[in-house]
Amino acid sequence: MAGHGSSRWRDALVGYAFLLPSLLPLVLFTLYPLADSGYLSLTKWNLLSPVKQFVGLSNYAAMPRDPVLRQAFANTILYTVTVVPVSVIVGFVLALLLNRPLRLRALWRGIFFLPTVVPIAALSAVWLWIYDPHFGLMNYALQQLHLPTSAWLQSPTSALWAIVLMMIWQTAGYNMVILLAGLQNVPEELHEAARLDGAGWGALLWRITVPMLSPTFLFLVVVSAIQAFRVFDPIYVMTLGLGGPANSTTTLVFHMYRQAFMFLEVGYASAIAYVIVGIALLFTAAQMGLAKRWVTYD
Amino acid sequence: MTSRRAGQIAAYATVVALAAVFALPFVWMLTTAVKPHDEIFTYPPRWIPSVWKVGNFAAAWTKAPFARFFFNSVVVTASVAGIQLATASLAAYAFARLRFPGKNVLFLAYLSIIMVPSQVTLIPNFITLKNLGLLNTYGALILPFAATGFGTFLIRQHFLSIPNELFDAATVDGANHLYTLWHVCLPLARPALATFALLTTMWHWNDFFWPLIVTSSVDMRTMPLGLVVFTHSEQGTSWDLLMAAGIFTALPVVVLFLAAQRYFVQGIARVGIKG
Repeated sequence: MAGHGSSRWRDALVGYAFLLPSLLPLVLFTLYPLADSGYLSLTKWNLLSPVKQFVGLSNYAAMPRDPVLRQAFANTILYTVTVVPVSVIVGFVLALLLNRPLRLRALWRGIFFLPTVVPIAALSAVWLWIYDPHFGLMNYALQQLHLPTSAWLQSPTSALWAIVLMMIWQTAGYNMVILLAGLQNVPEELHEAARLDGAGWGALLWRITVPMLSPTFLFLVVVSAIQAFRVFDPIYVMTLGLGGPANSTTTLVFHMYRQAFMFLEVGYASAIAYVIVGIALLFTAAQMGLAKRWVTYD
Repeated sequence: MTSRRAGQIAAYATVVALAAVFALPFVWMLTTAVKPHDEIFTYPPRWIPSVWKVGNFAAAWTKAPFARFFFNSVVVTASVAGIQLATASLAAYAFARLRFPGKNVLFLAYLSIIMVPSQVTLIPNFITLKNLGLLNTYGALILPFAATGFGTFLIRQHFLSIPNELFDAATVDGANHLYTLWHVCLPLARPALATFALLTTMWHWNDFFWPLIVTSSVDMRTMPLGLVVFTHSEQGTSWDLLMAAGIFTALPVVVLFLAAQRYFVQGIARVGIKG
């Protein structure tokens, strides 16, 4: 790049011109809304009235007194701490299996990965049918095994677990693919050397494979936790837009949606949105902190 | 030697058992979709229908305006993917090959699209589109996704890996930047463009939350949203039609996935990003 004055100018001009078609939507639909929902969270507004009443932090102060929000918070945490670890472990088992020289590997991989590709709306249709208390496959299978059956989505004690189970099935294939890529980066010499020292299968797994994959595990747990914390689609679809019997499957995002678009409490809903984002940031910060301390890099 | 063989047999047994469990909902969906109505509520459940009622698909397709939903989904998904490829390629070229003041700050702003969860932009975007009079239009379903931080980043990485000599040759030829982008960069970045196009097509075909919020009339629904409304109105009466509708909602992405499994899997593994 010779410092030719006029060509430099022209390059800069072309640069801005090339950015313009994406910069406009970026400002309008990402940066401005980020600031605007912060402002909205400090107001009381019903979406229709011309006046936005400034109420300071009172939307945030109202949260601890909202019993449904407290329940939504508990449900979201319960959902996250069950779906994420189980799905990562199942994904790891699948990845270990597929890392072996098996025939038809692409077929197996395709089957495990398929649920992550298909729209949640379509998956939910079949899981609603599987969870049908009278004719569903789930209760039939439980009866065959002489186990107690359940009303699944129709009972407040089981509805959330029904969704947790379905989402473990839905997300495990994603974890498998990432872990499989990680496994292929573990040098084979390490395993060979350990094997020569007489290490068994379990020792190889715990002493070499798992530590070598620790950055991948950390990444997966954080990304999945952020994703799980924002769960909405299966909640809406599986509970017919109601949040489950007695709010038993109402999550934070579902509560936010209902406050904004059904009760028109735009200020309060924006405050909930900010809390969700704040928690997502905490997860990310935790990842960065932990990555420095825990994770073994080669 | 024998222990290795036993291990291999155990691995096959486990993989087949797990694959059966993972595939079971899909198999159940397929067989329910082609069952005669009176074989749905049988006990024990029937795995193979006595007659294959393929007509259930046609019945489901017309029971709700699925032709319209399908058309809407195709318009929205193709527009989003096309616009994103265009805007991301231009922006990626600017970030990879051009010098201008404020470049680093702007690049961070693009990456922020990946970092900012859509929940926080949801309500203001709804209000913006309402003020623009765009609610319940294709504009509302397409415009908010015109810029992509992920696509810009992915394509920029590929542009950066193109050797400088190729650009010098183009410059000697007196090519302008648009020409260089079209004739040098884009052909070389084809794998990245394909991976991105596949992933964004899948995400936007499957999207449920945003169409739920910005559309209000039946004729603007997309496939997944139409399916859910259909599910909620039909549930308990005709599982066969529901499963049939679920299958044709999923079919386009399943076909895309089967045709390009390698791109999907490599794309996901490389970038590690979910929709």
